[in-house]
Amino acid sequence: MNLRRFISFTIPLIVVLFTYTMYLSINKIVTSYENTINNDYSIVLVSSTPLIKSTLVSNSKIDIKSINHLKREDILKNFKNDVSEGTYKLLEKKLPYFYTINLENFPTSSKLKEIKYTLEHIKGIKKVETFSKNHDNVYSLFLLIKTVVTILFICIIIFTFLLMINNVKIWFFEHSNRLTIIKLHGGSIYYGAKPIINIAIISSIISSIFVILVVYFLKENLAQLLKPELLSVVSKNLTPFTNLEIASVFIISLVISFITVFGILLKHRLK
Amino acid sequence: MILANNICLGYDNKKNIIQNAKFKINNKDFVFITGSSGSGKSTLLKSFYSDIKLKSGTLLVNKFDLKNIQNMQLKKLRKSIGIVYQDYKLIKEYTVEENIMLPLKINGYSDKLSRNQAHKLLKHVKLPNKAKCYPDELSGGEQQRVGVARALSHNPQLILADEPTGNLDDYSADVIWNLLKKANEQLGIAVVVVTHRIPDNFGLSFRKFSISAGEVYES
Repeated sequence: MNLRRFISFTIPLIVVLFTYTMYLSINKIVTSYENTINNDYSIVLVSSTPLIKSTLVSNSKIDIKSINHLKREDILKNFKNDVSEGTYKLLEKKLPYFYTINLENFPTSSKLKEIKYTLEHIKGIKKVETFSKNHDNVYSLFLLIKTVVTILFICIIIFTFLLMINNVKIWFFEHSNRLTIIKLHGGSIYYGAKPIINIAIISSIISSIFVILVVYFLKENLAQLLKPELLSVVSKNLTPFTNLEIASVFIISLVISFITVFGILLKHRLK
Repeated sequence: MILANNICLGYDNKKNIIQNAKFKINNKDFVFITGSSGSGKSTLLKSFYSDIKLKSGTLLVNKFDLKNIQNMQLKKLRKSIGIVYQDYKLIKEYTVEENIMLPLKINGYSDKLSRNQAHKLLKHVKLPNKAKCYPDELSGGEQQRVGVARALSHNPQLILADEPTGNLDDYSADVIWNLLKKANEQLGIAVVVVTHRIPDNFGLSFRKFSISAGEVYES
């Protein structure tokens, strides 16, 4: 096997797989972080009429996880000693209903604006407080990283494809004489291209194993790589890779190699 | 074996090189195709394994109709033929042994059987110690002998040879002619050879096709 060809095929694969694992890791951190802050996050509603979850869900089409009624008695208790009995009775009569609602998913800033707008237009609801200013900065930072990594991942996939297609084209050019002779003896293009198919398979396996090992090494040594502030967030939220995720690294590696090699093979076959 | 009926051959829209050729080559025939340089001898030979497409007419080779032959059929046809090229067409990355094994491997024979057959043929072409050599390490005559061994390796029904002894020394030329004669006489393989000059005292009955001004005639 030509070592130069093997390396030129493996390096782009390693780059794309490494980007993919970074993409997976950031996704996991953001999703896990979303769940954590979503559990602590709630919207406060003030309504002139009592609210029922089913009515609220059907009217607003918002994914509401739970709705909690803040007891009027508990609120009024705070005022009992500070106001006169008449005022207290008036308050008791006029005081609206207070609710907190928890959402199924942590919303983005734009989604939060939409939710607020929808809730405010439901009959009886007087005030909606979403605490949008407290929308987590770290979450926004993660979202930014997630977007950047996604774009980077797509760019690297395109770049890798182009690089690998060029490598396979060069291979075909270098071996055109051999392929012609095989063809003249009735051999198929696939028979002639066995060496490049073997390079593709071996490169996929080696690059997948290499990337998985590197990612595990990085995960085990996060303390040396990240600042303490980021380390606490990352180590808490970066769940271990599942078997399916590890398999997906191998699958992506094989798919990219095979599409590249068989794409060029098909082109040669049709010639 | 080969049946040509009014075949015309040529490149693109240029004038036909072979015009309305009509002939039949039977099993066990030994045929020489002669003619001056550029007369179309090699073009005619290439048409037998569909390296050049027919412009018109009908050409049957080993019962395959080459007029509109499909890819799968073409592979089958080429697997049933042994071809000896003037420029040898050996694969330089393969050893001599691997080059001879190529048609056998393409035909699906096992490694062991292919290797045994290659070694047997290397003895016939008087190169028993060159199995592990690469083509670049051999002389022209030796390379052509490997080419003939490769053409014979899978016991084809038909051997096509394009100027097989064109640039070779007398010894290599003799080895090659003897092998082709043996293949024809003892194994009953039909042999079609394109050549400038038929060897003296060939010692085997043969047919001779001549090409002149695009016409093929038997003399």
